[in-house]
Amino acid sequence: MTRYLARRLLQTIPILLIITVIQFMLIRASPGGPLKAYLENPMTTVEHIKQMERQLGLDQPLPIQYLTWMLGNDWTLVDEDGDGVAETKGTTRGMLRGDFGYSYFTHLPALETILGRLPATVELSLAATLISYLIGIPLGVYAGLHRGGRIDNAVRFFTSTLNSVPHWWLGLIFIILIANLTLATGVQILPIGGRQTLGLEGFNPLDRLWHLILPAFLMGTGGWITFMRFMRSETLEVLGQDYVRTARAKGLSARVVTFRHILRNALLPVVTISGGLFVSLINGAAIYELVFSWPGMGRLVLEATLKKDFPISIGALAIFATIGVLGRLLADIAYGWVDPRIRYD
Amino acid sequence: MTIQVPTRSNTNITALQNALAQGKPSRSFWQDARIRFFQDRLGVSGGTLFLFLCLMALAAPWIEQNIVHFSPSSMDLPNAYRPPTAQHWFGTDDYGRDYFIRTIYAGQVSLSIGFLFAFVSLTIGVVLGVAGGYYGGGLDDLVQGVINLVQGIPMLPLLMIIGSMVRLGWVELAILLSILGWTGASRQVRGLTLSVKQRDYVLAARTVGASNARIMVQHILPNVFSIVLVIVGFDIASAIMVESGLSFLGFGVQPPTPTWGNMLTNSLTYVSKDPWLVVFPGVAISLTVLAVFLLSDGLRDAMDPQLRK
Amino acid sequence: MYKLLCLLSVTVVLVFIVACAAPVTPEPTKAPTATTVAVAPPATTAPGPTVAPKPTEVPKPTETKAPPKGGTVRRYLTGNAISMNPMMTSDTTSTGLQDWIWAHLVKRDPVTLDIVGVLYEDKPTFSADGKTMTWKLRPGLKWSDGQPLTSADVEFTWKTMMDPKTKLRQRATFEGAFTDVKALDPLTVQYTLKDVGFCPAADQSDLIGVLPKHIYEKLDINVNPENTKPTVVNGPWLFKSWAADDQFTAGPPNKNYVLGEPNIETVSYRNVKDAVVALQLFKTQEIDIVSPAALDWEEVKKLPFASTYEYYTPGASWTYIGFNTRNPWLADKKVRQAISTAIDVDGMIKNIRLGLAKRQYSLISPTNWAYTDDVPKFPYDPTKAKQLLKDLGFTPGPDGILQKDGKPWPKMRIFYSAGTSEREKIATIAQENLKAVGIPLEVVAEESAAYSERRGVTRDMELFIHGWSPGVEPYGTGEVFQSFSTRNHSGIKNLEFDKLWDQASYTPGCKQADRKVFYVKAAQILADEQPYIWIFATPELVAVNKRLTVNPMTPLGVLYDPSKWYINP
Repeated sequence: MTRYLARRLLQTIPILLIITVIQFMLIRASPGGPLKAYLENPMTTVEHIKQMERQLGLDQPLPIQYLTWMLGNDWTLVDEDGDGVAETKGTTRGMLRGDFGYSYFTHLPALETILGRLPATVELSLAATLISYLIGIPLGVYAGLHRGGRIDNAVRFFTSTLNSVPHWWLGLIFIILIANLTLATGVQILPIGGRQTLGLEGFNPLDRLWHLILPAFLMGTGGWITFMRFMRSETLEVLGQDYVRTARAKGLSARVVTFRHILRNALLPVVTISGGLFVSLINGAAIYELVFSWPGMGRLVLEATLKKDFPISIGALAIFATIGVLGRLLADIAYGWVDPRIRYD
Repeated sequence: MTIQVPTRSNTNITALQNALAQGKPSRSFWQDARIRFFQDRLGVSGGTLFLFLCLMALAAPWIEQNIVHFSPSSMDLPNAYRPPTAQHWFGTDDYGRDYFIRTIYAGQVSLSIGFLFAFVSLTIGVVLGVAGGYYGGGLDDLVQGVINLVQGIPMLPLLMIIGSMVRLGWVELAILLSILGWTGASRQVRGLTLSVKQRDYVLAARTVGASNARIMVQHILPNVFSIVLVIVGFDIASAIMVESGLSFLGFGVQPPTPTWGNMLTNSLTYVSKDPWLVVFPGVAISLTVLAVFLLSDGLRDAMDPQLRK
Repeated sequence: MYKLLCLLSVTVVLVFIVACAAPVTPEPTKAPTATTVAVAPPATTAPGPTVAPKPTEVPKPTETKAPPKGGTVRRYLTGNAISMNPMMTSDTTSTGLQDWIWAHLVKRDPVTLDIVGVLYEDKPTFSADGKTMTWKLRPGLKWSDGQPLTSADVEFTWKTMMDPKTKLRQRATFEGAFTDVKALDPLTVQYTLKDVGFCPAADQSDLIGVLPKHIYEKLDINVNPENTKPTVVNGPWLFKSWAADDQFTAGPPNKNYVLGEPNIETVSYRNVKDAVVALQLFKTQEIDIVSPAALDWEEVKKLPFASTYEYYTPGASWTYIGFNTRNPWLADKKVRQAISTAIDVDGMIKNIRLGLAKRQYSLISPTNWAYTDDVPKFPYDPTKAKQLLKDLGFTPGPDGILQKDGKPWPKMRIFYSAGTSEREKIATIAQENLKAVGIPLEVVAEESAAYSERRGVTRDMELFIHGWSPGVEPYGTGEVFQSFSTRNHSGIKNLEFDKLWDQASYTPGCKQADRKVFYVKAAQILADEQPYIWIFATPELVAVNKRLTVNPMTPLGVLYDPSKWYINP
């Protein structure tokens, strides 16, 4: 198991490295470059710019620039005044030590800002994944057990239609429906958005849950439809197997037998799918966060890209990629734990 | 039951002889598939609907000239917000533009993005998938590594960042999506290549000394083609969905060029007063996606009935 | 089976850990301390329309029954504020939030519309030679931390504003008014006027409010943690939290507030995607105040729990399409006039505002005292527009695009602030109008802060749509068109206008009727120049949930003094 894990961990390094290279290229390619914030200031002179270039190591060849960007240069001496002698200490700490630059607008450290919004996105994505399990798996098993029945056909038809419109758009329709319903009946079944009620102090779990339901459900729709379809086909397959007939012949209840076999067979693929599902939810959260006014990382990146606040938007790439890697790694760990064959690999 | 030893007398030589005598050749895979497909009513209706929608999109200029007589961009401010009438089949939008012709032109853009995306991502996916699956070893590991890499790139954030630096037309958008989205197809193609590689006729061909290229073209690609047809459908559908999402975020094709995505999002302001503005693009998207799903399902079932659920 | 349950419970536990561990309102962290100016990234300020000083009621004798205390007012934001420091911003989103925590030195009385003191007392006195204006601060003023608020704070604010290292874009506005602001004694502030007889002197004396010297004198004004998290304020409420693009909360009430401790306990704003979501929030009563788009006004008026107010203020906001006259194709005023003739403004008013707007032709709002209707007008006439352009040498090329001397009209962009659907419609209609006469236009939406940069700094634009909130005193509105102004986005240079505008500001005696003579002439000249196509002036459309009592209706509306609002018992 440990060897398996170690191998998987090693495999994550090239991805993260490539992401940092992409980030590096994007920052260089962004309009104005890394010194954009300074160029805007009418007080900055050409000398200032040159000084800062040397300070940040921007006058060096590209590979050195990349190293500086990753590792920083405050542990080495820089030739700040251009006289050919390196005598002053550099100022950047480098990406690996968490220096992602500062927001062009708020001047706060980019990494802190991004990480501050991370929990909200993770909360939403986890809840969506959970809903995918809770709805998709039982529904799929039920549909498979009662194949051809009314519920099975209704579910299949309904989910096909559901998948043919964008789910976030349904969210907006829901919001408007809820508002009109509240007007008509005076009862508000779900909130319009946000993570908790405006003006409420402290942590109220019921309120937070109430706000979580609709966004998580819609975000998880793709997920529970996938799980439903998968569990349905799994159920059908298991039902047709010989050992089920044998078990029944032996006198075991059909229900018990099928459930155990279905779940056992389904476990591995479900775990595999989950990893990818969670990661794609995190990456695609921006739209749902926008619709439901959810203060997450996706919306932060959206706002940052609209404002051309590049330290935030480009820095967030690394965070998204890291979460992606971690998510898949966790899924692989779960996979390794669940599948006995891997353990002895 | 007794075990029968096949002898000349009880093998079906007579039937075969009769068939040969009648001059009927045995059916090929493609003929089989075609017959099965046309027996599947859902698949056929899906295919017909999709074909119809594509034709409408292609014929947009002709429809504009000869049937509708309104251009998608000509404004008629005093007649804005009109519900569907005989004159404007889908009503008018907030600028008084004919909604029907706009929906059709929007279909042009959305479907073009879908097709271009499917074409480019499948080209990349098939080439890499077949190469990796067939040659195996180091090349396969390389391809797998590339797949892992590309999958590790967060798509939406990267699209947003690039969209903020560069204005994206529909061609650029489709190509960008393909560069990030070919991995799913590649995995499936690779899997299929691996299994086809083991089949008897491939082994036979290799024994006989056929070159790799010949084997790939004659045996692997035709099998892969079947799964490709299915993936095309899903690719088109997902490209349309992604485009609508990007329009919503502000990065898609910019107005006044209509796409189903931006028509959908712009009309939400009016949903209580002028619901048709929301309904028509929504129905257009769902009909197209449904049609394409049904078509793909039908094709898949026709190609490999064992896959049928 | 057991493993599946384990996985599920682990996920559930993770969700709870994440949800509980993360604060809903992330605490803003300290900005890096700058070692040298060169190292710290400079603050960006956004130029934009100034807002009339937020007026508060002149304190009346206490009512018979004290209004109930407590409660929360919930509002929404569609844009993003840039800073909590009033010196660093002038856009309406930022000032809208700042006004909850910062008080002003003067305000406009909502009934008489005169300038009266808030932190200052009553009215100013002028020296005999007219060179200086003196205000007295009210005695016993305190900052929220208990420190006394004195003239030293005002002088410190002025000095910081005038310091060239401060990134203050409106500096020219104040430099054009005063040369010095000095503290004579702890309660007396003396303003030295740049030129004698500056009529709007009293109006401008608010500067940008006043900052606490004992806090800011140790900090770099451009970059410091107080700009995002002010600890000491003097406004009606204390600052609680601000997460950019998420929420803003002010509270609890400031006991030391000059006009009396407010009744409401907290004010909360939440960022929402756009006016559509805001309207839904109002319908479910999750927010208390909404300014709907004109298209939704009828629907809002029908809501049983809403009090609706529709009024034009004397400084009604107006919307315009600006020309960048620095562009050689737009430099000739006759070209601009021809383009103006091609734009269907009345169509816009009907379609976008459903008639809830007044057509405007020059820089003064139709409801302002300095307004005149007698200015050159360019009503919509596409045939005439084509003719005018033809007379200027522009003829349609083979593809319909205008050409002059063989050169086709270059593709131009018209910008507007993203998320404003009204401005998007103006842009789209304008694009269609100009296409009809052969001018190709590309519509570009830009996020509000970045758009501010473009208008104020880079000026990389051809046409730009924006709004202006003038206020009762016209001075600031016209200063933007004066050729030396740093806020002259359009780049217009008309020396006659410059002179007339100064004359209007320095009219001997400062009587409105006398000043108006100059304003009329200036408006006529500017309308002829058409640096902007003025589109319409809009009324305020305000809907308030009946649970909240706001201010009595005055010419300045109903929201001018939040400290007097209260939640109905």
